[in-house]
Formats: sequence, C-alpha cells, structure tokens
Amino acid sequence: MNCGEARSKLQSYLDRDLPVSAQVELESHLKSCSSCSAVFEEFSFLLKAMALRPRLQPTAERYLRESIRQKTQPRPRMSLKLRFRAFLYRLREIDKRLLGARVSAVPLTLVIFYALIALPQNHYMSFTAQAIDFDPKGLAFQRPMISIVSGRQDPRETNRLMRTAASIPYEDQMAVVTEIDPGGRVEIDRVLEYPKSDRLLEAIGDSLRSTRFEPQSDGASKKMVQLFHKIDVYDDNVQRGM
Amino acid sequence: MAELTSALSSRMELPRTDALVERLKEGDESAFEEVFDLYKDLVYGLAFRLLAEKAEAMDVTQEVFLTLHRKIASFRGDCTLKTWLYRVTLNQAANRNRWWKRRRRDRTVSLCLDSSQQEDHYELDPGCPRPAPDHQLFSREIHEALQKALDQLPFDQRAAVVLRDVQGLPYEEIAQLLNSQLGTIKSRIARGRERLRVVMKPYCEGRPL
Repeated sequence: MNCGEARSKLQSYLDRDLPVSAQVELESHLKSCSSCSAVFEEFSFLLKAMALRPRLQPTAERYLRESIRQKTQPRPRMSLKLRFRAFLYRLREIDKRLLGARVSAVPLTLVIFYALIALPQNHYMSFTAQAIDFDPKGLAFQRPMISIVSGRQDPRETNRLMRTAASIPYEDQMAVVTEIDPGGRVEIDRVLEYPKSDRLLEAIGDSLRSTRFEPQSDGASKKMVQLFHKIDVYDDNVQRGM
Repeated sequence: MAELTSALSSRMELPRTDALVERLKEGDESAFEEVFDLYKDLVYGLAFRLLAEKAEAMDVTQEVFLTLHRKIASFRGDCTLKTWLYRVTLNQAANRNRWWKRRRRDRTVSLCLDSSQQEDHYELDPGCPRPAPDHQLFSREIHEALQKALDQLPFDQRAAVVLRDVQGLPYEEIAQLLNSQLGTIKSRIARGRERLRVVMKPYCEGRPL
C-alpha cells in the first residue's frame, strides 16, 4: 500500500468501515510510514475532540424548561365582553400623532398595488433586464450573439423579439448589444455587428419603435443614432428620445 | 450518575418512543417533560456545534421543543422521534445561519457572555462509540479552536460532520436527514474532516494520545 492509498482509507478506518484485509494492510503501512501515521494521529485527535458533546448547564436548563413551560401553557379564554374591552383599550393606546399617516397609507398602498398589476404594461414600466445568449455552443460572449437588455420596454414586446430571434438560424444572427438599465438611461456598450437577417432587423425595428429611449450622454446618443439608422428605426418615439 | 442514567435511557429509546408519542398527542404534559429530559442535550449539542453560540443554541433548543409541542399531532411516525427532532433542529439552525449570514454575524458582537467567560460544559456522551478522550487534553483553547474551525465550514459540510462525529449517527441516517445521496454525504464529511484536521494540526502536535 502506498501513501496515497493509505490516506484515502484513513477516514474509513477511523469509521471502522474498512474490510479486515485492508485494515491489516493499512495498519502495517502506518507502522512503517511516519508521515501517514502523523496524519492518522491528527485525525484521531480531531475525532476525540469532536466526541465531546456540549451539554446544557443546569441553570440554562432550568431557564429553558421554565420558558418552554410558560409558552406551552394554554391561555385562559377571555369572554367576548372582556375581549371587546381589551380592544377598546388598545385603540386608546394607539399613538394618535401618526394615526392619520397610518390610516392614509392603507388606501395609498392599495392604489399603488392596483396601478402595478391592473394598468396595461406600457413602456414606462420598469422592466427587469434580460439577456439571452443564442450561442448554440454555449460559448457566451466569445462569439457574436444577440443580447438585448431592455429597460423600459414592454416585456411582451421583448419576448416577441426574442422568439423571432430564436427562430432565425444562428449563422444569420449577428450581434446587437444594447444595455438599457431599468432607470431608463440608455447605454450601448458594444455594437459588434448588425443582424444579417432581414426578418430579425425588422423584428428589432418593430421592437424599438414601441420602446421609449432616453439616452443620457452624447456618446450613447451617437451610438443610438448609428444603430437606429442602420436598422431604419426613425419614428416619433425614437426621435423624442434623441 | 444522573448523566449515565439519562444516556442509558437514550439508548433504550425505541421501545419507549411510540408510547411517548401517543401520550404527547393526547396532550400529556409529563410526556413532554420526559421528551425534554431525553433529548435536551442532544438538541442543544447539535445546535451549539452548528451555530457556535450558547444563546443561539438555547433559542434553537427552545424553538425545537415548542415546534414539537405544536406539531406533534402531525407527526406520522414514519421516522423515530429522535430523527424528527434532529430534522427540526437542523432546519432551525439552517434558518438562523442564513439570517446571520445576511446580517453579517462576523461584524456583530453578541451581548451575551462570550465563550471565554462561559464555564466549560462539555461532556462525553457515554453512548458514543468512540474511545474515551483524555479529558485533560481538551483544554478550553482546543474547544474554542475546534468550534471556530467548524464555524468556517460551509453549513452543509458542518452539519454532516457534526451529525457524524459529534452525534455519532451512521452515514445512511445522515443522508436521510440532509436529503442527500450517501456518496455526497461521505465526501462532504471527508472534506470537512480534512479541513478541520489541517486547522487543528497545531493543537495535536506534541501531545500524547
């Protein structure tokens, strides 16, 4: 048995989980090899130290027992009248100074909630960024790919675009990389290449038309113009953003 | 003597458990006391090794027995009461571990007495199959170092190592408790022990075993 084999069997040996023949072999190796024997002793030391189990001290145990007893005691049921009086008492105890704010917060929260779920999702809604890698070999960012990250775009619009992109053969796709953060600022980091596929160009054009862009810097604006020019998306929506 | 009795009774757990569970389900308070006496050290020991703090371990112990009190009606008996308690303890400890992880425990200081002010409260479980350690060998320094080293392990690894080496559970039971494959548990324990061995090496050197 060499040292590598011995080391791999040490833990099983300590767990008494080794066949007798392997056990004998390991024991004879340990007798002849000082470094393996040192490792064995370190493991034995560790396991002995671990075998000492922390126990509850009597004072802690008394405290714990009493605390659990109190919490598991059934509470006496109050009569309806008593409960109503307790409710009135609690009502009187409420801090009046913030009462107005607390009460008005309820309808306000409901209105915001309604606005978030019930109003149609237009392009002013912020939208979690999406990035889709179409590289079939999984070599993300190493080959041209389409990655459209949109901020204020209608998610349904983005999904439609992504579906179109996915249906186009990989060879016909090239990269348009835009990054638009959910705050509405537009940054186009890289425009690697524009799509070769007319269908994809058209889909991107449609998608961008329904999106409101607000480029914050000159550099971003230039890149946007370049991109939109290429894919022929000049309409009111984009112009306003420019 | 009291410890020995409690340990012996814990070895005779199986025949008594069914009757105890039935009494617990009927709301027998003395049964609850019996369960507490039987398993308090087991639950506390596991929680302490997993969370490295006395106050946290006590909170978890309390929460585990309160859960037992609340949920005993839904205990179906498809595992032993001990296994069920282990599982609840592990879940509670994992929740607390996550909670502390989010709040950067390493940057907070407990208002409780720190471990150096606590009196030693380690004892060997007489039911433990391992050879008896030399008590003098295990100074407070070693315990603190061991606990610190355990605390450095990822939670899954720590739980597996503690269940194996502190609680002395068989690998199969650990795999069942942690919902993992046997092979995964074995390698997790092996890696955990290896890391602990390296950290504890300086404490071992020069000491007779």
